[in-house]
Amino acid sequence: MKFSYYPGCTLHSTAAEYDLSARAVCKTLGIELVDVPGWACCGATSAHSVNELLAYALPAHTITSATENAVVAPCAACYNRLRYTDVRLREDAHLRGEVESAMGRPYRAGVAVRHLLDVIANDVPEEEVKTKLQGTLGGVKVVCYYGCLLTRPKDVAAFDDMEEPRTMDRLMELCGADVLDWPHRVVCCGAAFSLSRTDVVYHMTGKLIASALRAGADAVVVACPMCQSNLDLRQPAIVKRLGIKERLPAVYFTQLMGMCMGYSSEELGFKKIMVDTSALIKKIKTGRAEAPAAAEG
Amino acid sequence: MEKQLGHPLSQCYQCGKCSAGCPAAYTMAEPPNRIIRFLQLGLYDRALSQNSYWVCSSCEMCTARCPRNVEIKEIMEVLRHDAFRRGITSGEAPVPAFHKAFLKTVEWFGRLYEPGLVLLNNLLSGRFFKDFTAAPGMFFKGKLKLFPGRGADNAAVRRIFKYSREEAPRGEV
Ligand code: SF4
Ligand code: SF4
Repeated sequence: MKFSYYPGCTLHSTAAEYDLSARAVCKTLGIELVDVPGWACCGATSAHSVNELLAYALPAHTITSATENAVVAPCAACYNRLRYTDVRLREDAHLRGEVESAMGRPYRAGVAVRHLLDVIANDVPEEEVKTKLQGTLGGVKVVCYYGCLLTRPKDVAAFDDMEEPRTMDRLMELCGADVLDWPHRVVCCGAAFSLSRTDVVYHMTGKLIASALRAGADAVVVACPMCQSNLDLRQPAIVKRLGIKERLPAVYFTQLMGMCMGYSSEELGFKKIMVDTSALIKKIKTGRAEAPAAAEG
Repeated sequence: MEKQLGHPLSQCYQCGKCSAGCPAAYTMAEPPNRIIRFLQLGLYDRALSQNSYWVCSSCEMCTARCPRNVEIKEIMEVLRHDAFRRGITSGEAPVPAFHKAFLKTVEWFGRLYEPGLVLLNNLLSGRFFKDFTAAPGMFFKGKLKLFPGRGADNAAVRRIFKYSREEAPRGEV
């Protein structure tokens, strides 16, 4: 399996641990990733907030630069922007013309835009994933957080249910985690307001952290660097405001999968997470020692 | 009004489901369903003078749940483009300032460069020392780079920005 890989801006900086763990897990699963040459920022919320043409032309540049027939994005926001662009450019010839003028070259239609979670969960048969697991997550309690852009809107992001997505839950169960139910799996974290209306992030992400802790989670599992950064980087300020003593590590699903594939926590960038993850890692290891057969169930 | 917005409005029966699920409604002067109502009544300027579309996070919850298929998030976006072009901030000046700073760093480097973004954002929004406290920790965790990364096709990105700025009647950057 060969894919064009579009890491996106954050995986090259603040979310380096997502990049590390994504590449590691893909390597083990036989998914070959080839970086899109010359890829640019997708424009994120800012471009589509202020200039429609820019919001389509930036993702179109990256799609057109892809060398394979499918491009995989690990960031939910990039995925959403690329996919939205592809859908719109295929149905609106006039817009496509404008975008092509902006790029100065024809748009490459027909490149499938996929999210990394979709590829790992749906292109690799479950049985095959199982054969790659050397250890389990030891029954550690997790909640899976999908956020807003991974599953919405429904005619654009189409690999899971909009209100009750389960793709990540399924993978985590396969790895031997105790996946808890919680009501906030698709509620927005406040994403783009991190630097402008930080209080909005405190409010929205605060609800998520409180809800995950109420459910009894040891960690919240994510598939988006923006969600992770709001949950992790802003957590000290949030728990202080809420008067919460516990801490909740926000980790990437690829980091937890990688732990079951024999990679060390250093190789998976656990140390790059701001909230201390040592208790979580310890819990996984003791759980594993106590119930080594959990992977079978 | 529907024509001006490019999205139908009349089918909205004001059930309020959009506002009930909206994570930002708590900080909006008027919640999403009221914005739709203003527009139904032709009160465009009244809609534009609220902060609602600036604090909307584009999370799509409203559009996803509307029983009448009103494209609420998309309508918020139309308002935002217009407000940005006309310099209307509705009391939320830091939000458009952030978008401007974000896009400037992308135009310069082809990709996002966080330290540059934080600096420029603080300059444009007039809040000079915001978010500096988190930086040292992030730096030591290897999350912040001292220099912007390379590898983006800068010429292509600048061309796209130039064209979008000059040719697009819909918004400015
Ligand atoms: S959910 Fe739809 S029908 Fe109900 S108030 Fe909102 S826009 Fe109108
Ligand atoms: S897209 Fe905007 S208006 Fe709609 S639910 Fe999300 S924050 Fe609210």
